[in-house]
Amino acid sequence: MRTGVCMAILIVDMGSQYTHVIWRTVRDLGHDGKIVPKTVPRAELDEAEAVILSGGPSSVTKDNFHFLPGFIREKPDGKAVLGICLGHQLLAHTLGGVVVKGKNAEYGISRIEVDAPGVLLSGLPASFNAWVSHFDEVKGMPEGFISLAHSDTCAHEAMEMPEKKLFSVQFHPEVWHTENGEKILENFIRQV
Amino acid sequence: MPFNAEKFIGKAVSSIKDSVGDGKAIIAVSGGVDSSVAAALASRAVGKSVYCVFVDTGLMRKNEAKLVKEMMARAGVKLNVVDAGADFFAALKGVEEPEKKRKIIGEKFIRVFEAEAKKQKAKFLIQGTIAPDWIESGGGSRDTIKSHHNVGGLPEKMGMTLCEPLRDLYKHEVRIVARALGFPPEISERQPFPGPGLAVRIVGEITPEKANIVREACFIVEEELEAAAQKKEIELPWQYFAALLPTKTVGVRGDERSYQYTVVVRAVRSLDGMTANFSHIPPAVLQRISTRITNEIREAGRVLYDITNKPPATVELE
Repeated sequence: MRTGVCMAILIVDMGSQYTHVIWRTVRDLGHDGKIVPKTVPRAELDEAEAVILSGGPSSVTKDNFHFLPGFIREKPDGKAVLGICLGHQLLAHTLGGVVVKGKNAEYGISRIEVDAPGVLLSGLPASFNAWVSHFDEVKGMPEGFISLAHSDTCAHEAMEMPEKKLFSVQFHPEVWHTENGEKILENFIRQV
Repeated sequence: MPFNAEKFIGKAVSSIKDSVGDGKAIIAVSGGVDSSVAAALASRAVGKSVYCVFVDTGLMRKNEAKLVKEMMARAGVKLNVVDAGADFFAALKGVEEPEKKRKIIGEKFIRVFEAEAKKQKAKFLIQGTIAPDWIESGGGSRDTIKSHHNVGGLPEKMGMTLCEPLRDLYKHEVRIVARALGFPPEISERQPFPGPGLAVRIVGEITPEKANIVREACFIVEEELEAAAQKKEIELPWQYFAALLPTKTVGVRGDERSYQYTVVVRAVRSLDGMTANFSHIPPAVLQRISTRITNEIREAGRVLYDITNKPPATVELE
């Protein structure tokens, strides 16, 4: 990140309760977030310095994500993308991973155990409380990704492919109840 | 760059000026921090052209109308109280479904405001809507969690233009603005209270009798938790109240069988209301609450403490 520079970050709203909270956190970190609907045209995605994909109530296997899968597959390596919850599942699904309905759902508090901090979770404790709200989960990682953390009910709580600037988390770093959540978003923005 | 109150106040005042212009506006004031801040911004923006209306729905907290009137008077705001209790109860009679209750309440509010606006020849309605209100009300790809009375509860046809200066703010940010505007802590730090009032704390059908039970129970929870916080036994929760379940259970009182309602005590920690966890209230404090509720409220036979976080629950029960 160029220090002191205000980044323009595109926040794609896929129907999350927390999309606007992502916007707020991005603003609190000193950057300029812009919320766009999930039908956002490809050109706008291509122009953004960084893209955050929000969570949402739908499922990657059932819903239409318009230009997002194409963008995820074809984007230039330098452009940073962070997927959150449904966004995490969309990254995995689009890039050849396996997303299934979990054996157990996870709502509210979940203990995240860090397996490899990587870039996204660097500087975080080995284990921390995060807030989650999901039924589907990433079961098989897409090729080239490293799994960063797990919880009791979910094997891949975070993953990344730093050389392609692709990052994602199953839990919600934007909400107040997630410990060190802001730090995770900061780690991401630093990659922009 | 954390939230900047001064910058926000400047922007909000000029945007209210732009939208209301030379017109007149009425502002819906509930006594909570959101509508109080919206009223103060409106009065900075257009001065005497705003007319503050407080609707007594009959579903308010104990002594609320009186308390709010005094509190606002101290803050220099003249409140016009509309007593609509009978109207609200009549409209809600026999209705059990939470979304239907919320829509009826939203519509009732607007009809009262329309009548007041007509009398005042006002074309604008200023509301203290904040971000969680419209987020949870749903729309587009976002599911409706609950229709907040001031957003999803609005009727399709209304004869006023809405002005919502706090739309992008969350509770903790509204409090920062309230402090910057010089509000006393009794307003700036006041715990949230839902727009539909006690209606969402009565699960199922609303009756004046049930409203009285839950009002007394809320009062006891507030008194006891505030006293415990004062004595440093607990950290004052972000929000704390009682709710009434339609379920009756069996008890024994003075060697006699009783069959009475169930009261739920809820206290949560939060920053912005978007996520919450139940407060870890010590058993001694819970015991005082439970004993008082069952001793002082004849119709309350059993007391439960809600230990669900948000998600998967919400803060209020409906």
